[in-house]
This record gives sequence, C-alpha cells and structure tokens, in this order.
Amino acid sequence: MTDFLNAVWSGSGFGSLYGLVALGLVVIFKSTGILNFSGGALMAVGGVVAAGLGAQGFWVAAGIAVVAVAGVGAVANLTVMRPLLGRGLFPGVMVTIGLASVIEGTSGLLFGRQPRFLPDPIGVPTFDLPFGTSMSSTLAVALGLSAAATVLLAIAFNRTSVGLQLRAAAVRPEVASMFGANPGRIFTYAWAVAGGLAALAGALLASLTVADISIATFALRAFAAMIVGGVDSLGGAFLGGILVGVTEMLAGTYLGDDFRLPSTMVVLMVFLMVRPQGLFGTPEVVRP
Amino acid sequence: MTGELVIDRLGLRFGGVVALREVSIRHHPDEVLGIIGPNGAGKTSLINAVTGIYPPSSGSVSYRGTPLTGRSPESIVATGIARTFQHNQLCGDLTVRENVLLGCHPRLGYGMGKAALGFGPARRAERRLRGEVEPLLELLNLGQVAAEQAHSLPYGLQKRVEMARALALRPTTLLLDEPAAGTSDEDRAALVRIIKHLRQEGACSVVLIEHDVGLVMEVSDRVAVLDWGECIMVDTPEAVAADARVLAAYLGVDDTPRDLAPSDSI
Amino acid sequence: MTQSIAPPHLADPAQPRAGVRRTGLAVLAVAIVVALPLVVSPYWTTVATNAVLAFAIAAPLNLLTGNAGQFSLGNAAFLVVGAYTGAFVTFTFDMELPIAMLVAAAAGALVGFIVGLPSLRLRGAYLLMSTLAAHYILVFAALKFQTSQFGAAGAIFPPLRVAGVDLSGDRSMYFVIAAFAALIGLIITNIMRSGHGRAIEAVKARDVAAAACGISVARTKLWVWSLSSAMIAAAGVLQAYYLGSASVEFYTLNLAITYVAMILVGGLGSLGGSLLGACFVTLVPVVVNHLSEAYGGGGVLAHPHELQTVIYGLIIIAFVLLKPDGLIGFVRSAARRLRNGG
Repeated sequence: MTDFLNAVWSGSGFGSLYGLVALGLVVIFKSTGILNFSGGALMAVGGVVAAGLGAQGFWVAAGIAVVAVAGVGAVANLTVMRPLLGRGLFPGVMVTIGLASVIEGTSGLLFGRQPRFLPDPIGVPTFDLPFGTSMSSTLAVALGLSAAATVLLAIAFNRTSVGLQLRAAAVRPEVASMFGANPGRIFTYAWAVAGGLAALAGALLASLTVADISIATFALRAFAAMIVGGVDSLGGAFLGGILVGVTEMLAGTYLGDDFRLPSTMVVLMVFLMVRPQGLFGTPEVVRP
Repeated sequence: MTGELVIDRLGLRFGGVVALREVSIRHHPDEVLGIIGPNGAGKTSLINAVTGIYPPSSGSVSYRGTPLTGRSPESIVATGIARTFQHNQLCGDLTVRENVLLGCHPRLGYGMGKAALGFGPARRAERRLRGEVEPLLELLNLGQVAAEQAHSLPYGLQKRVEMARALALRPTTLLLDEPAAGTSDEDRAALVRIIKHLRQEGACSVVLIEHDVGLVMEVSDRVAVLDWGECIMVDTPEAVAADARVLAAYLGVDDTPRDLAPSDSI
Repeated sequence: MTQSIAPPHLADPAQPRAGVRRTGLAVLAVAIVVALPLVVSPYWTTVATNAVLAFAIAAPLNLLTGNAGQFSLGNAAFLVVGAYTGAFVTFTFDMELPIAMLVAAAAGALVGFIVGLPSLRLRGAYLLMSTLAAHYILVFAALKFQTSQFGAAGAIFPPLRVAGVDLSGDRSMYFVIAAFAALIGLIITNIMRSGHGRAIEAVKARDVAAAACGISVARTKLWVWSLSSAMIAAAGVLQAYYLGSASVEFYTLNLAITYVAMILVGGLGSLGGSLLGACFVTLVPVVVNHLSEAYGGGGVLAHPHELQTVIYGLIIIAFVLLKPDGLIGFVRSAARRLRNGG
C-alpha cells in the first residue's frame, strides 16, 4: 500500500511535468496543426537556463527561464514555423526536429554540458501524507503549477478574444483574418506559451534531478499525455500527463525501472488503437 | 454482359443528418439512367453507398443478384461496377497513361514478389496492359497528353482521364459522378459521344449523375429524381421534364405534400 | 507530405532514349562504386562504406515514407530486430551471413506487418505516434532479449567470413555492403516500375480512387510495411557485422530520425534521392571534423560535436523550407536544362 501510494504521488508529480509540456503541444497543434517534436528541447534548455541562474533562487531563475524560452518559441515561429502553415504533417515534424537539434547544439555551445542543479522551490524537502507515505515538495509544487497553468490557459482559450482568434485561426486562418484576427501574431503567442510551459517543466525537473540539455527524450511522454488526453483538449493534456506519470511510476515500482518508459509507450499504443480521440478529445468526423 | 443493379430501400445517415431515405431504384441492363436533383439531394451519397465507400445504414444493394451491401470498395469493383468521382481523384504525380493503367490493376496477373524480382512475367504483363490502354486513350482523345503528368492538365481533360481509368476496369456498369461539371462545351460534346458509344456497343450500362439537366435528358433512357435524400420519381426524360414535383424540387416551391411522393418507384 | 514531384523511375518508359540514358547512368554508377576503394585512402573507404550502408537503410524507408506515404520513426527498431535475429541465428545455429540475413528479413517482415497494422485505422499524426510507441516497445523487447541471450554488453560479432573466405577487411566489407545496397536498389526499382508501384503511389495520393480501381489499400500498405522492414532488418545484420557489435544503446530514436533526414534531404519517393541524402548526411560530420582540425579548433570549432548538432538541425530546416524536393530536385532541373539544350 505504501509503495503503491508513493508511486501514485510521485507519478502525479512527474506526470504533471509531462502535462505541462503536453499543454504546449496541444496549444500548438490546436492552433497551427503542427505536431511539435521540439517540446523536449525547449524543456531541457529551460532547465539549463534556470539552473545557470540557480544562485537567484528557484522562482527568479525559473521566471527568467520561462520568459527566455517563451522568446525562443516566438522567434522559432516567426522564422521557421510560419512558412509551414498548411503544408501537412511531414514538413512540420521535420522542422521541429531540426529546431530541437539547433536548440540542443546551441545550448551546448553556450552553456556546455556539465550537469547543473537548481534549489528547491520551497524549503521543505518532503510532505508527509497518510499511510506513512510522503511526496517531494517540488513535485507537489509541479502539480499545483501545472493545474494552475491548465486552468489559466483554458480560460484564455475560451473567454478571451485572443483565445477566440486562436480557435478561429486553427479552423480557417483565411476566414479568421477576414474578421481582423492576425493569425501570424496569434501563432507566435501559441509558440511563446508552449516555450514558457516547457521551460517551467524544465526548471522543475532541474530542481528535482539535474539540468541537462540531453534529457529531451524525457519529454517524449508528453506525446503519450497528449494522445491519452485528446489532442485538442487542454484539460486532457494535464490529466493525460498524470495518468501517464502514474502508470510509469507503478510500472517502475512493480516491474522494475527499465519498464518505466516502455509502459508509457504501451499506454500510448493502447489509446491509439482503442480510443484515438483520447479521453476528452473530439473524435475525427470523417465525411468528405 | 451488362447486369442489373438493384437499389432497395437504401438509407444512409451521418449522425443526425439523413443523406438517403428509403431510396429504391432498379437500373436495367444496357440502360443509361440519369440521376438528377438539387444540391444536397444525395446524388453523390447514393454512388458512395453503392460502391461501398459509406456502409449504408439500412436497405440493400445488389448487382446481378449478388448482394453488395457490406462489401469493400475493391471487391465491389470486382463485380463489374466502376465509377468516376465528382471531385478530381487522379494521382497528379503520375502520367495520364499511368493513371489509366491504374484501372488495369485487377488484371495485373503478378504479385508484389514477382514485381520485386522484375523477371519476365511482370515485364510481359506490363507490356500487355500498356497495349490495352492505348485504344482507350484514343477513344477519349487522350493520346496527345498520355505522357503528361495528370495535374498539369486542364480540368475537362482530367475528367476524361477519370473516365478512361474507370473504363480500363472493363466495367459492365459505369457510374459517372458529374462528369460534365466545370468542363467546356467541347468536353460536353465528347461526353455525349462517349456515352452514346458505350450505349451502342452494349459493353456497359451507365448511371449518370449530372447537374446539367439538358445533358441528362439528351442521353438517358430513364431519369431518376432525388430530393432531400428521397427518390421522388423514376421515369422517361419526357415524363420527368413534365412533372410538377421535379419543378418544385428544383425551384424549392414545396406545394407537393411529401407523403404523397412515391418512394418505392421501382 | 505535399511534395508533388514524380519519381524519375516512374517516368514514362515509352521514351526509349530515357531508358538508354538510365542504363548508361547505372553502368557509370557501378563503375564508380567498384573503382572507389581502389583509388581512395582507407579513411575514405570507411566513409564510403558508411554512406552506402546508410543508403541501404534509407532506400527502403523512402519506399515506405516517400512512395507509400507512411511516415514512420520505426526504422531503428527494425534495425535492432534484424541485428538480434541475425546474431541469434549466427551464434545458436552457426549459420552463414546470407542465411542470417534471410532469417532477419523474415523477422523484419513479420514485425513490420504488425507495426503497419495501425496504418489501416490511423493516419497522420496518430500513425506517426504509433510508430514512435512501436520504436520504444521494440527496443525494450530487444533489451530484454539482449540481457537474456548476449549479456549486458550486447552481441559481439566475429569478423565476417562467408564460405570460409575472410571478408572483414575494409575493402571487402565495402564490397559486400555495396553489393547488398545494389540489390536493395534493384528490388525497389523493379517494384516502383511495376503496376504495384503505381498502386503504391495511388494509395498514397488517393486512397479512395485506388480502392475504386480494385486496389486493396490495406493489402498494399501492409505489403510495403513488410517489405520495407524486411530490407531494413537485413541491412541491420550487415550493419552489426560492420560495427562489430550490436547493443540496444545504439538504436535510438535519433538514429531513426537520421534516416528520415536522409530521405528528406535527398528527395522523398526517389531512389536517387535516397543515395544523395545518405551521402550528404554521412558527410556532414566528416566535413565539420575536418574543418575543426584544419582551423585549429578555435571558437565554435572547439566543439565540433555541438556544431554538428546545430548544422544538422539547420540542414533539415533548410531543406524543408527551401528545397522540399531535395537534392534530387537539383539533379532533375539540371537534367531538364540539358535536355532542352540550354
């Protein structure tokens, strides 16, 4: 029971990090239709930048990293992503893969590859929970922050004019622009949001373990989170992340550590086969 | 040998939208049957349901006594029914000749393994099929452009390539979905000539879906009228042209009580 | 996949002169391949071996992704399936290389068939995700197999001998791999020039129309998945012999992406493109290392690995944005200019 609950706590915490990256993937997919493979690199470079500023304490360092990587996302959209609109899956995936490579190499050139650390967000290392279990305070903060980010984003999407423009631009960019929306600028917001969310996940991960530019594969679970939740659902990305994280930790606890990543991929495959629209996504309507 | 296509109380719905309701049409051998109706009447849905692209929600389709309902599109093709598409469905990167050769696929006569080895059988079969499509290209006046990429052709010619591809399947029944839409007078004349040619040869019967009512009246033996997913009448062109319900359907004047319209107009 | 360039091997064979020219080019290519290791240094022979091996893996991937339109990240997993099947057959039954490659190809076909099954229900991003999941699941299965069969370090391959002849030297290894690559190229050319090649292109471009021509979309897709994976798995055996060992750490997602980058850079759906892309992507690190040495390794050149990573990413981005038909596009427009007497 203790093992099980501990796995659930840490799984939800780590899962919320996948959820943060997946939120960014969903925002980009929802608005531009691009499947973003650079989420992991954005996350990793966010962790590296935050850890480089570790002397300022977690919150200042993470804040600067979020702003900086949001800038990287915006610049990426303005330079290389915008020409891709409407060109289909393959070009978008390949350019974001190229972008990830550029980010990783540039980070290596600028900051080196030595592992760095970031202090905890709050002083207490762990919380005690019922049945003799406990949870790392950083994971609890991660859970809280990503829940908050999900709610804020959902409000922004559904209640603000920018959100409305984003949704309109996703469906029909040419129609949206007729009504005064500027899809170019809207997509830049989407990329900035995705970059900021990924950087937040990276900073939290840096304080949990270590900041390292080559941990981008960590964020592959975000794809599983995105599919499990439903590719067009923000709340789904968050809950999908938790579900994937908990699965991973349970597999790690009961089957062995090497089962962690494969278990998330099995979950991904099962959802693709049984319920590709995910828990909260809209099923694809096939009618020409 | 052409065959009889029987559509019996066919229904098709997408979620809450009813595309076809209890449509019954009997298409006789050697006949050119025109299907007309306003936009959204369900003409294309009917072809899609017959050719297995959409599984019907109710009713049945049979060809020469063989039930087609529930079969895959490629196995329905094997019974002798070929079709064209309302919106261009050519493979634009392939040449015109290659597009027409696609229609010879059921007669390839060699598998992927033999193709990979590339020895005699595959090569001989290719030569044979290339010989078979030449007369078709001539019939449809496509000889000049046979080596062009399909996407480089004007729209009217692309429609003719579609028809050549369907004919390459050697169908006994050919379903044409708006073959004249968006084409020139010249293309339209060619179309009339080809349909009449097919009619005379007795090689295949034709179902013609068209917006151009004049064209349909000119070439059809009988005409079916669809409106709001229902078949409101099937009769000779003259009778259809004189019917008030058809006028109402087209002009949107709905003074005919719906329940009086015969739906089992076999 | 929106590229709309006709693969040259689908060009109309009704033009006999094109056929003669193609045969001439093929003879020239064979002559260059055979002569290469006799004239260049062992270092460049190794580089050439890497490029030819990369082609033998990229070309079947291009058949699947470029011609059949099935975007897959599963190729590294198919390589490890091949390498470990080959190793198992070689060590357990003491079989020669050709047998090991055949068995590996059969295993690759079976696994490719299974990984291809989702393509009957999913498309686009969803299908790509299923290949991503398949990659990790297969590599994990390979890890378990490795631990039980070969130990933690992976499978160590002996020097290559076939029928008692030692083929492990640099030059003989090059010739073995080049012969295999030529076979792969021939098989793919034959298929794409046949009616089944047309069917494959039709399934990619217009699956509804393909079905209306009596082509079974499902069967065609599964054939291509199986065939492509079989060839990649067979190449995996050769690759493992060439590298001397096979260990799960080698078969990463990044390796899979490298081969996708090759077909992107070279040209989707083109066999010549697979060759050009394989050479180009293989040469990038070589050139960067040379520059780094030549200019004393100052500035960014002090970190050739990081620089390679950046340049690799920039190349991928540049080709998608500026030259979506790939290097083969340059060759085609040059050929067109020559033909038009310009």
